[in-house]
Amino acid sequence: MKLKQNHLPALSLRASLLLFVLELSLPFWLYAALNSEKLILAKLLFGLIAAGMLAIIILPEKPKR
Amino acid sequence: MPLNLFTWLLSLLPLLVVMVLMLGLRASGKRASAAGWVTAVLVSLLAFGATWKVLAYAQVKALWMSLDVLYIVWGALLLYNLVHEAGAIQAISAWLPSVSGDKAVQVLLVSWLMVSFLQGMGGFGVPMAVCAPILVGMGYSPVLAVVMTAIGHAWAVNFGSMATAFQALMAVTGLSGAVLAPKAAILLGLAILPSGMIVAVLGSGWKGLRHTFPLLCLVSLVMGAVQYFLAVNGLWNLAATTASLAGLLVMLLLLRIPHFRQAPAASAQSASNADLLVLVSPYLILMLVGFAVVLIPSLNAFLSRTAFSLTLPELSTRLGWVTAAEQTRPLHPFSHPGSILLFTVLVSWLIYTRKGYISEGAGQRIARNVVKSAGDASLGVIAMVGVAAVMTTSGMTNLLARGLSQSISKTLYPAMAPFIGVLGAFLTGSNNNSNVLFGVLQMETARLMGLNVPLILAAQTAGGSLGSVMSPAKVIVGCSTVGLSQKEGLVMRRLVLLDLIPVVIVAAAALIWSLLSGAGG
Repeated sequence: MKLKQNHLPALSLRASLLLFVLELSLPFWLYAALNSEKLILAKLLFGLIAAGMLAIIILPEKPKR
Repeated sequence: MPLNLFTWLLSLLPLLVVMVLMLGLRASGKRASAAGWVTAVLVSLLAFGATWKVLAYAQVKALWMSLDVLYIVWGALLLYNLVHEAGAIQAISAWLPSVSGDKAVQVLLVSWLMVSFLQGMGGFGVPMAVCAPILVGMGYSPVLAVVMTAIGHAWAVNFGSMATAFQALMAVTGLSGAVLAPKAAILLGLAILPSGMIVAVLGSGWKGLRHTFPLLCLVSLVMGAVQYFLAVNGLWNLAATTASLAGLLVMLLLLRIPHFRQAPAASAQSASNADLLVLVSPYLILMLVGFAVVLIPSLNAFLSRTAFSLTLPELSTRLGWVTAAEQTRPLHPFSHPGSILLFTVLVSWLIYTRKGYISEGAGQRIARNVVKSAGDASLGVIAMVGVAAVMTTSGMTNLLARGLSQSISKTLYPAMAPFIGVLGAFLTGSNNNSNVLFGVLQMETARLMGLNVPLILAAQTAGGSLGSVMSPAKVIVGCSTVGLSQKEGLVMRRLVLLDLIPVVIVAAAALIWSLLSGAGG
C-alpha cells in the first residue's frame, strides 16, 4: 500500500514492539478500569488502543529485504 | 438491527477492507487488520448502536483470545529459530531426496503429510511456520511454500489440535460426537485428495500430479478411512493426527514397492542417521510431551490446576443486540501448547549445546530473529482478533450469517453452509471460533428449514477447517518464518482461490447428500 506519508517516521522494529506491548497490556488496564468503574480512565485507555491501531495504519513500514 | 442489503453490506465492510488491502493493495497483514479494526469500530458505533463500553469489553475479549494464539506463536518461532540455528531445517531438506528422488513425492511428504501431522500438536498457523522453511530449503519460493503448506493441512484442522474445533461444535450445539462425527469425517475426508492434488500440481506441475496420482489416491483413502474410523469411535481428538501419521507411514511403505520407487537423487547428501536423529529431536520431544500432556489424565489434571479467566458482564447495544455475560475460556499456563513448546525449546537447547550444534552468539541471534518475526505477526493477530470481537459483540457477525442463510433457498442451503463456516474461520483465524460463532445459527437455520441438522453442522465445521488456513491471522503466522512479513498479501492472492477448490467440493458433496437423503434426516 503506497500512501503519501514520507514526512512521517517509519515504523521501526522497536516501534512495532512498543506498539505490540501497548496493544497487549492496555486491555488489561482497561479491564481493571472498567471493573472498578473508573470510566474516564477506561475511555482514555480505549482511546490509546485506538490510537495504536491508527499508528499501525498511518506510519509507513520500514521496508524489509 | 433489521436485515437488508444495506445493513448486510455494512456488516461486510470490515472484512472487505481487510481483503482489499491485503489482496488488492498488497498491504501487510498488520496494517490491513488494523484498518479492518478501525472500520469495524466505526461501523459498530455509527450504524449498529455499539456503546464505547461494548467496544471496550470487546477489546478485552480480543486480548484474551489473542493471548492463547500469541503464546503458541512466540513458542513456535522460538523452536523454529533454534532448530534452524542448529541446522535441522537444512538437514531435513537434504534428507528428503534420500527418501525419494521424485520432487513431487518430497513435496507431498512435507506439505501434505508432515504439516497435517503437526496440526495435531497445535494449530494457529504453526504447522505452516514449521514446514514452509523446509520447502524453501528445497528450493521453492517462500510464497509457494506457504501456499502449499496451508492447503496441504486444511483438511486436518477440524480433528487436529486435539479436535478442539469439533469439541467446540459439540459444546455449542449440545449434539453428541456420535451424531456429528460421521458426517464431518466424510466431508473432510473428501477434501484430503483435492488438497494433495493441489499440492502436487503446485510443487511439480501436472506431470508430477499424473505421476503421483495412484500414490495420492491410496494415501488419501487410508487417511480418510483412519480419520473416519477413529472419529466415529469417539477418538476424534486423535483422528487427524493418527490419520496423517498413517498416511506418512503408508507413503514410506509404498515408496519401497518397485512400481512407486524412484531412485534417490544422485546428489542426495544427508547427515548420518545419528546426526539427523539429534537434529530432529526437538520435534520428537514436542510430539512426546504434547501427547503426554493431553493423553495422561493425571499429568493433565496436575498441570491444569492453575487457570486464569476473565468475567465479562452482559453487554447490549443501543439497538438491543445482547451478548450474554460470560466467563472467558480458561487459560492454563502450564498445560498450554505454548508451555509445551517452551519446555521443548529448553530441553532441545540442552541437547544441542551438549552435542555441539549451537555456536557462540546463537542465543542473541535466535532472540533477535524471534522478536523480528513475532512482533509484526503479533500485532496483526491482535488487530484481526479485535475485528472479530467487535463484529460479534455489536451483532454484525450474526447479521452477516443471517443474511447468507436467508438469501438461500432450502434446497441450496447445504451448499452454502460450508461457506458460512469459511466466513467465521476467515474472520477469526480459527475453526474453533467459527464453530462457536455460527454453530448454533446453522443448527437453528437447518431446523427451521427442515434440513438434516448433523449434515449442516458437518458442512459448517468442514468449511471452518478448510477456510481457517486462508485467514489473515494464520497466514501472518505462516509467513513469519520465511521472510514474508509485511508481504502476506502475496500469499493471500494465490491461496484464497486455490483453497476454495476443496471448499466447493465439500459444498457440492453436502448438497448432493442432502438431496439424496431428503429433508429432516
